Amino acid sequence: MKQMAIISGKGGTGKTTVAAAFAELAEQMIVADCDVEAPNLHLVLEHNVKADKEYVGNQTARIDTLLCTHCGRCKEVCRFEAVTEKGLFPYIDSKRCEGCAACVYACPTHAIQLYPEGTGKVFLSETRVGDFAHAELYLAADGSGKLVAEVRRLARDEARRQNKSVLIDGSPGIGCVVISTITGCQKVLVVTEPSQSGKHDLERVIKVTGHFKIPTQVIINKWDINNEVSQEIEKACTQLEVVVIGKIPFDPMVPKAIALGHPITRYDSPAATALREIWTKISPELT
Amino acid sequence: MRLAVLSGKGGTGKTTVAVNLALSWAPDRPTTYVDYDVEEPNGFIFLQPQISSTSTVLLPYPKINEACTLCGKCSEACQYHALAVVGGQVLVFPELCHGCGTCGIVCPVGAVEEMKRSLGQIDVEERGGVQCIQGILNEGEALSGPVIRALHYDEKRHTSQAEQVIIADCPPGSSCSVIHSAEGSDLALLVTEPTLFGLHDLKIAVRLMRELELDFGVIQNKDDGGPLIREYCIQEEITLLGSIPFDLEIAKIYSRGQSLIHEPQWAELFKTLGERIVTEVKQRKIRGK
Repeated sequence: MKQMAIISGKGGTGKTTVAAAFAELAEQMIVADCDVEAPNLHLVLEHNVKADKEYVGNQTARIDTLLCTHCGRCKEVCRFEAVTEKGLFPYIDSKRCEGCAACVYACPTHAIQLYPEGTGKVFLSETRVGDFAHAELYLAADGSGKLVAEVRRLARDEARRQNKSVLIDGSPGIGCVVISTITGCQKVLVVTEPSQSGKHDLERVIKVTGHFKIPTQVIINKWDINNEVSQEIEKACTQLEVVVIGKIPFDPMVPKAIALGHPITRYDSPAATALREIWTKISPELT
Repeated sequence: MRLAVLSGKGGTGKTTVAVNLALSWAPDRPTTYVDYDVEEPNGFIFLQPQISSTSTVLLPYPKINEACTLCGKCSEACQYHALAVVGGQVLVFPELCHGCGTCGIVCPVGAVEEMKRSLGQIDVEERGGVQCIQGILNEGEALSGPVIRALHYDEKRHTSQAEQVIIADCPPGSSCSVIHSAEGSDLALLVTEPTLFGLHDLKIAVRLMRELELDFGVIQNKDDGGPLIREYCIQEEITLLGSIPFDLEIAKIYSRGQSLIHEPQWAELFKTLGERIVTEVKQRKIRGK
């Protein structure tokens, strides 16, 4: 079973457009949307939810006010500024609490305990082109990295059972969520755009995939918006020894296809042609 | 006055809005721009500030000294599996450590010392009247939380005047990093674009703002004149603070890493948007009282 993740560093460069196109062209991969904070792939992949379950990945400390003696030790040891006051009693702000248990162990009257907290909901859906794992992070919940790991576990289990590969649509950034998205992948595709921000963020994300030693290739989306910067990006990629596997032109059909809830590859358009070419190049590695 | 620029979806134009508003306010009022998108900070590309000071964000992690009796209490208590007793020694995995100090609390013999490692940095700089602060997470590091907390601290330290405008450029998504970047703001500016993806993620951002009880308004970027975002705002009784048109010229200026306010028509647009936001905050304060 092979796993390929599509990430970008900078947001809004076209990860989901590329992922939806590849899902449609592959016709036989398990697809996972790991952008759990702002998932979009389900909007362009017609699907029916087959199963859903709650994922409980967090713990939050709570104080038993009957046992609390107001000694203030919890506030002293908490390094996340999660202990505040509510009326007369110390109160733990669940949005700040990282469930580290420092207060639990420090409390002299054992008034504090950790309680499990739901992180989000995980779904397994079926689409025309194979099974699809996705999730919804609960509002203001902590632990999106863990929820990503859960979505990937679900996708991996299905992929093993069905003897297929996994295609992952990732999130912007380079932190815990992205690291959780790419670890264990055989390949990462970085979708970038020809802007100074796109280039800056691409260089950072390539350092991260390099740090974890994951083979990485780059797609320049809307390359013709600024040909000069596109060339700068290609030059930077050569220096970083990363291959630019393809370039997608700016194509007004892309937002139209999204508005209709379809992958762009259902249409005959310049972006679709470019994506088909890229897919021909990378698909042999995924089987 | 503190403003948070958010979006849910990435790439809708948070930095464009934050940077150009900051530059357009700067001549009239003391303005500070803070880039809270520590994973991919882009504001300084456009602001090009003079570097004046850089500080390292440090995260503590445990070092076990010779007093250790291998009792295993530390690894039992650690919620992040950053410690393990293996083959007659305690192994420490600094990259898993959140720096919470729990191991030190539970150790019965005082064998836990603290070391510090660099997680990222904070730059405080200045450009054309705008005080610029950014946080950067080191590549390969997972935890952005400590960098964001350090930024909050530095923001407070560098902004004392009451008439000061602070504009916080927040990360995309809807996680705790977004919440911690946005909290304490007088108004959140939700930047969106008129696509199915943009609207979907705007709805997530709106739910988040309502959950946090944070006042907010919407700014539509890449406005194509269509009804998608306008109708949603009317339906949900959300203030549409302003729109930036879809324009290939804007895309080109942006792609070169330049700010928009050097072009008179866009300077005018951001001036108007800025005044509208200041008025909105004032009115909401009066209504709130």
